[in-house]
Parts: sequence; C-alpha cells; structure tokens
Amino acid sequence: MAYRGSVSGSLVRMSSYFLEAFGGQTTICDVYLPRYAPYTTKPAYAPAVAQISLSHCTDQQVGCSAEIHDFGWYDSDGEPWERGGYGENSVYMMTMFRVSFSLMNLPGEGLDYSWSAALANVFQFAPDAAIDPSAP
Amino acid sequence: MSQDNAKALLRVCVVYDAESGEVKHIHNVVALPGADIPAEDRIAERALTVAKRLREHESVDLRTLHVSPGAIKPLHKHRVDVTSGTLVSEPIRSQRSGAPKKPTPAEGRLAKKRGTTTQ
Repeated sequence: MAYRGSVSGSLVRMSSYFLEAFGGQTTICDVYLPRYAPYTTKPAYAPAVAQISLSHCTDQQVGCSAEIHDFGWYDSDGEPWERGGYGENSVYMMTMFRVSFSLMNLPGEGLDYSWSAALANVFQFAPDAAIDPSAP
Repeated sequence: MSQDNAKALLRVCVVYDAESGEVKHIHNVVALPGADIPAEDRIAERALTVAKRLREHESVDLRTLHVSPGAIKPLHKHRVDVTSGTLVSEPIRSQRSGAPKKPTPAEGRLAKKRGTTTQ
C-alpha cells in the first residue's frame, strides 16, 4: 500500500469519464482544467485530484492497464510544466491544468474480442481547500 | 452561466491504420468550463505523437480523423472506411447474447417436469 495524497475542503465539481478500448487499441482522455478555481470572484488556484481505475478486462491472458499518462501544472512563477504519469493511478495537485488518462488493451488471442474499460474521475475543489499533494 | 448547466467541451480524434482502417488509438479531449480547448490541428498532432509513443514496436502508416463525440458509441468497435474517410461502427458481439442455445438434457428434463417445454 502507498499513500497517494489528500484534500480537505469543499468540492466544487466532479467529472467522470468512461474509457474503453478493444484488442490492440489505446484510448486517451486529455482533460483540460481552468487555470483558476471555478465559481470564484477573484482568480485563485485550487486543488484538483485525478484518478483512474480499470473496471473491465475481458482477456486477462494478454492484459490491459489504466493509468495517468501525463499531466501538466503551473509552477510558482506561473510557468507551465508537464511530466509523464509513470504508471500512476492518481494525482493530487494545486495548479494542475491538464491530466491525461490512458487505457491500453493489448491484442487478444483466442477470444472473439478483447475489451477493457476504465473509469476516470476529476475532482475540483474550492481555493481554500487544503491539499497534501502527490506530485510533482 | 449557472453552476448546474456548465458543460465541458469535447473533441475526439481517432488514429487509424491507413491501409486497413483499423482504429489504433482514440484520443478524447475534454475542456472543463473555464478551460481552453486546443485547436484541431494541435489535437491531431498530440494524438499522433501519443499513439506512436505507445506503439513504438509497430511500423504502421498512421492517419488521424476528427469525429463527432457522439460517433464513438460505448460497446461498439470502430474502424475507418479508408476510401470514404468516414468512421464505421458496429456493436461488439457479447458473449452473453446471440442465438438462444440448445438446452442441455438436464435443462430439457427440468423444463418438461415444469411443463414449460417449447419444443
């Protein structure tokens, strides 16, 4: 087990995405977040959390994986940075502007089809929420 | 815009084998309210870059096609008709569906006992 991060505060918006992939296919979902927290009168950064979980894999012999492919954030000078997800399944960040979820389904052998699916979630919090970030 | 009807923008770009039309990669782009969505050429460029990175071992001529978000239906397999350059979708054949299977002898005896035989 490994600790991944935490946020305490008000949730402002939660979005969910269903990803699916067939034999040999990859599916990516790039989610772009607003630079500042939604529904605030003054521009302010706010924590965001992205998570992905594999929900289906019909051909366990060949395998499939769901992960954070890469993500981007602003540093303290407002400069954008990006890095690979390195197989992570969640990211907790203060200034995230993009997260990319990936689902990879390897070619099936012997089955009519090889299909996998994943659920990805993005949580946006209020600016006064306290975050213990997981990255960068 | 109220909080309730704030909708995300969505774009979809598929990357396919130029010869067979097989869809190798589906690239979805979502811009949450307040975020900017990249231009279509930037989306296609990123889709192709990511697709090539994820399948380095393959030497396939890959092409991109922008499709409407509604074109990618759940539980459907997709390919591109390379002559018309359009997306073709067909439902996946579920292992639980299809023609009704012939009852086993035990099931047949049970159905006869219950008086529900249809044959």
